[in-house]
Amino acid sequence: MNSAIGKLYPTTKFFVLLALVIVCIFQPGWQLQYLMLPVVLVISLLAGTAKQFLGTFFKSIFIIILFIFAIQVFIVANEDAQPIWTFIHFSQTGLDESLTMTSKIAAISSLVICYFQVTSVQDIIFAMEKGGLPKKVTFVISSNIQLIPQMSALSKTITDAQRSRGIETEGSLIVRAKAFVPMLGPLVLSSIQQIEERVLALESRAFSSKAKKTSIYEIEKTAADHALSWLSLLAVIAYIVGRVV
Amino acid sequence: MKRGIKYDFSLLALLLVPVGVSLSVVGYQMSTILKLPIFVDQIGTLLVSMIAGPWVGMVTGLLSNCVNGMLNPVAFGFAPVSMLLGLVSGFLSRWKWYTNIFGIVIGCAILNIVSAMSSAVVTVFMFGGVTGAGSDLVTAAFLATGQALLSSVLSTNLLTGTINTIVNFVASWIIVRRIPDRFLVKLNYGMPYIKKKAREAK
Repeated sequence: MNSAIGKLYPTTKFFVLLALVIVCIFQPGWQLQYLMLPVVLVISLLAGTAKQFLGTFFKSIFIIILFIFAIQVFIVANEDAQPIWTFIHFSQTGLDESLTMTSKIAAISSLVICYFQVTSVQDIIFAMEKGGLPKKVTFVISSNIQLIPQMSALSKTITDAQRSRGIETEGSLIVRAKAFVPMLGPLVLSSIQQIEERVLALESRAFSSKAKKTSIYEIEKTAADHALSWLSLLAVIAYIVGRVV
Repeated sequence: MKRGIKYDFSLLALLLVPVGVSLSVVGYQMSTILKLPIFVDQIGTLLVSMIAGPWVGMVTGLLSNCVNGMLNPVAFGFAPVSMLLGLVSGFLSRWKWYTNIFGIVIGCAILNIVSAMSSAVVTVFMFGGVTGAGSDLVTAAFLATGQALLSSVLSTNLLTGTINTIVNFVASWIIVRRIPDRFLVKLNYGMPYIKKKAREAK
């Protein structure tokens, strides 16, 4: 996140993302959308997140795209289906449809993945607060992000503790399913106890106070930010005008 | 008692949202890794909606899918499903359906239908009938028998959803029953879940 792209103001990156997503949604066909993949790859290469990006992409989106092709082309019974083997057949409409559908899914989701990888959550929350969202909203979002790693650490501790008492966490599906409740229960109950303490801690630090608060963390908007924001707005307007005319 | 959206969002309820979200996220990650045909991803949403009301439940559903979406953008598409589930479950809890076994059974059926229908709509129109999980094989089996896509997905959702809803609901119900009374009493919707003995003693 220390690259030039990572240092841009989060709202700027969001405008660029939004512009690209709008174009991807309204552009018919699939060529442009699939062209977005190499573009995103180049962006994440520049930002130094290419490895993470590819990892996430192949773990989630790639699988779903494969499934869509398999189901739409070979299994859904379209009118032009040509039988291959019992219930498996090939259909051209299915192929066309899955091309348009997967291209949109691939383009939009890779853009979203890339956005969250080049933007730190702290920056997003700062920009939200600056933009005038209520403190309660930004607090809930930021504590979500902070709580998840804490909870997974806690669940690891609980798993270890329960394992030392002789619970089985590996084996067949039923064995694992049985281990689920004794692992989840203490996790929830202990985090609920923590909530009460957290309420006291927050109230003693004037969380509910209506006064304006200052932030220790600051990020600045640069000339590049303004230029990029306007550029993406203009690009969307130009695209819409071009489509309508 | 006056009950509005603002009344529901007390500081305690607000802090409950992250707990619910992280519970849902942990469950979602588990079911994705294990490729189970069951998504154990609604425990948090159901739990929060039970004890903190429909609106807080809806926010929990939305946020848990957004957090999942940062790792797997497919989850963004299913945000409306979680939101609807939190909302409906919260209203059922407000009307005290969850205090007797009869209400629980009907409530589970309603939740199941709501989530099956809304997720079928999302699955078909956004992802062409695919979720990238184990239940796709069930959909493929229904399709192979010659059914249309929407009805296949809906049948799959109702079939796997029944087990799904029951597992999610029972897990969150057990957890709610284990929450100490002194915490429940501070919540706006905790009253029905306080054990009877403690209530009579007051």
